[in-house]
Amino acid sequence: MIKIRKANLDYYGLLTSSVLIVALVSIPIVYLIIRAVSSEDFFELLFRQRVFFILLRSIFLVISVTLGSTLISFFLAHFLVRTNIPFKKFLTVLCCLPIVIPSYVYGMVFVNILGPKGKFHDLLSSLRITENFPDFYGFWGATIVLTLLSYPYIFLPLRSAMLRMDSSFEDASRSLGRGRFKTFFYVTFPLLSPALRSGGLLVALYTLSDFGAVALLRYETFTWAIMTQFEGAFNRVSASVLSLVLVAIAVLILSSDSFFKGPKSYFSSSSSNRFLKSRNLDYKRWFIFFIICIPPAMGALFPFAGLLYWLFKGILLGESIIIEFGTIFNSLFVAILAAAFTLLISCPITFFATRYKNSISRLIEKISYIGFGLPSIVIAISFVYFTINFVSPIYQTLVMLIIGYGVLFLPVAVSSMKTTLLQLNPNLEDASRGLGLGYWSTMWRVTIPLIMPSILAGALLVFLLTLKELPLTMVLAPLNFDSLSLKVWGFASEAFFAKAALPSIMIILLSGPAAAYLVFKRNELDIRG
Amino acid sequence: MAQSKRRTIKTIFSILVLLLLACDNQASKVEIVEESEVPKNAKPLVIYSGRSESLVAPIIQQFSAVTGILVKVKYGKTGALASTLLEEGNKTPADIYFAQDPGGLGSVESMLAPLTDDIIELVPSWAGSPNGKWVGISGRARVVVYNTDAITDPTNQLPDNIYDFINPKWKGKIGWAPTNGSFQAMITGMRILWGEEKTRTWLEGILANEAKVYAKNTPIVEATGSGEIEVGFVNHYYLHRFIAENTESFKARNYVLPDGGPGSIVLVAGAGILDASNNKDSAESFVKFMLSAPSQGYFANQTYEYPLIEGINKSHLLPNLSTLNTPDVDISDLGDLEATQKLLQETGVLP
Repeated sequence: MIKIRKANLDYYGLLTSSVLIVALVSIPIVYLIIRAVSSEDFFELLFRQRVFFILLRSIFLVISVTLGSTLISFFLAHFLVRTNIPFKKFLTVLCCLPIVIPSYVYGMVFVNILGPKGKFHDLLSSLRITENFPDFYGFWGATIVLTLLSYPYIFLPLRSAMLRMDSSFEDASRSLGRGRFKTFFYVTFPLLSPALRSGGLLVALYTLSDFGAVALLRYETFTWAIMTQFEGAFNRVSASVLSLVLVAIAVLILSSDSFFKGPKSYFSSSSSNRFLKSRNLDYKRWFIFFIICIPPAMGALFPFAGLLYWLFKGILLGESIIIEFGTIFNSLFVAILAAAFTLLISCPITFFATRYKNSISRLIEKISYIGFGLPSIVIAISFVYFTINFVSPIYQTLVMLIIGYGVLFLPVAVSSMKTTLLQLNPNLEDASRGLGLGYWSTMWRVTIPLIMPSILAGALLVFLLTLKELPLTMVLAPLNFDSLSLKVWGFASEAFFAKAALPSIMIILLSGPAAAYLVFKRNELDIRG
Repeated sequence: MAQSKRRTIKTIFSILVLLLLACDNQASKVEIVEESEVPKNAKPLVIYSGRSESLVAPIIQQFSAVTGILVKVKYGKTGALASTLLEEGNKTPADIYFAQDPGGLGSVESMLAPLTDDIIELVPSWAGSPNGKWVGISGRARVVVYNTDAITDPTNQLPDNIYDFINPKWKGKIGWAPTNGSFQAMITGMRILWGEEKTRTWLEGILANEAKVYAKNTPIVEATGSGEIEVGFVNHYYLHRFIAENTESFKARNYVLPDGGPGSIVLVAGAGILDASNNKDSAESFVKFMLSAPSQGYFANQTYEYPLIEGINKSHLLPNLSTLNTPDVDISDLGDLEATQKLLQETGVLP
């Protein structure tokens, strides 16, 4: 009797905290509804042919970028986990790096160098190779750039899922007579599907909400249309109406996720997991090595080189290029706080969603993702509205800024943690509780230490994203606040590229160690069942 | 193995620390000194600046140094700040809204306090709001930027009036930024000077010429310099920054349309004082300072904009305002965006 009540208490404890967090996360949606309802031409604005076409453009982009990122990630993760590729760890770190490049910076460099009359074209035509350099603007350019920037969202969880996968499943399948490909499709792929799905969701939502890259690559998406309302028409009401459409698409993407259901459970019940043996590639390894280098080289080294080029050109032309210590400190400080806060609010939601599978927990998890599909300016303005009207003492303080980051990046932390939690055998928790530990102390002393690597990974991802986040920082930051991303924008928007290069480079350099840590730490602390 | 890893991480961190140390922290020291000089009871002046830090921070610092008034600034995009102000309503902490274009000021006009006559009289009447809610601080002219390789003889190769760019010979050669505030102000100017129908024909003509859509002015000037497009409709001052950064070899120049008309209207960046401000004295001295000779000289020579008061020497790169053949349009009318938005949407220029 007492035991049942205790279990209920655990359930309701998690439920209450999750509901509170979801209430916080729903603020932007509530705001959008409040503003959209006040619109006089709600229907006229929405039901236009042009809106429909732009919507289609967004959806095509989401599909192509998600597919592209999945393919690249599979390729990279497979060879980096399961074969004897040379310089494996170095390559793995390299493959994570594109995530630290801000899309507005990448777009800038991409156009300057690979544009139809960019530096690369100049080189080719001066070498008399070709005069007709292909035009990367539009759909393909946007697909390439966003894929290169966002595949790490899938690569990271996929890689750790592969590392942690119990090879006994595959061995069983093979010994029962299934070939390598059938084993892959019927055993390996379904086992990896939580990692693919959570990463894929993030990529899809990120693509939906990106403005920086699509603006510079001249592919008009729905987010572009929303920004037009903010910046051209100064009309936040119309912007809200259009943003609700994005919410609808995000909901559609999130519910389509349920179609790709994998097996019921992803953990192995054997007492000791057998880890994968790496396949010897022999002479092919160097060939594969070079192919693996392509995505990170295009996604991270290329923009980095472009920035260095601008920086040195500026220095040679005698521009005074300096950066204040305080700016760097601010960026680091805020990013660390944002990571900690996001981690804190992601725990209840993740535990609730993985340990209690019911319609409420599913709903709560999905709502927490929606914000990632909205342009971050919408989230920022909605927080202006709520804080100044209801909690004005925290208005324009760091507290408000940190909460804003938390709401925006919550899904990143949730998805990183969830993938690992699903692979953890709940029997371990049951054993701990059978031995007399309570629910919360089990969580604290057994579960959290076991999934620590992915908790840290989630926090680091939030750290990286906060460093480069722009619109939210712009609107919610305290007065006189200065950060690296604000500096980049302040210079780049006025075409001071050399001056914009230094803070961009600082963002990348500060993110580098974090990305390296993501890879190294995980290997040391793999979960043994 | 573990040790070598640790060593790698240590190396990375020490490189970072070195980089941090190498960065200049002189400026932050200066700031602290200035703050201590200011009397403690002075209320800081809060500015929301839609103009970017790289352009206006030096002159705002100078204001602080001269008057001893402590200034707190929030830099952001003009539109994002307008939305922020509208959500804040009368609880806004802002005293001043310094906007990139008349549209931004117009959208929050109901939140602005009327300016005193001695401020309004400083600028010509065309460069401010007719009901005295805001004033222009610096002027920017609409021009046509062209690629010097493709257009070697601008006076003969380029038309006299922006209307003639609907000629099919410009197909695929034009760049524009329909979402940009200044562009929309130009279209509003067209509606006033040409009327709805002619403006519609022009928009449709430019669309038929497959003008390339850019997000804003900067990439248009960049694309013109690289030869990606031959001409672009932009504000005049971006070119000067590209020339400053790329030397005179940058392959684009500005062309002032001889016929004038909407293709060469002059816009302003301006400022207004928030009605909810309880620091109006400091706010007024800020606006006055921005319209004083040193500030106007700063805009003319450092940001290559047009000064709005008499007797300021401007950069030699700028053509005279009088040669611009500016049409007779009231700046504040250019902030009337609603009908322009509608036209742009109907023609399919905007989503």
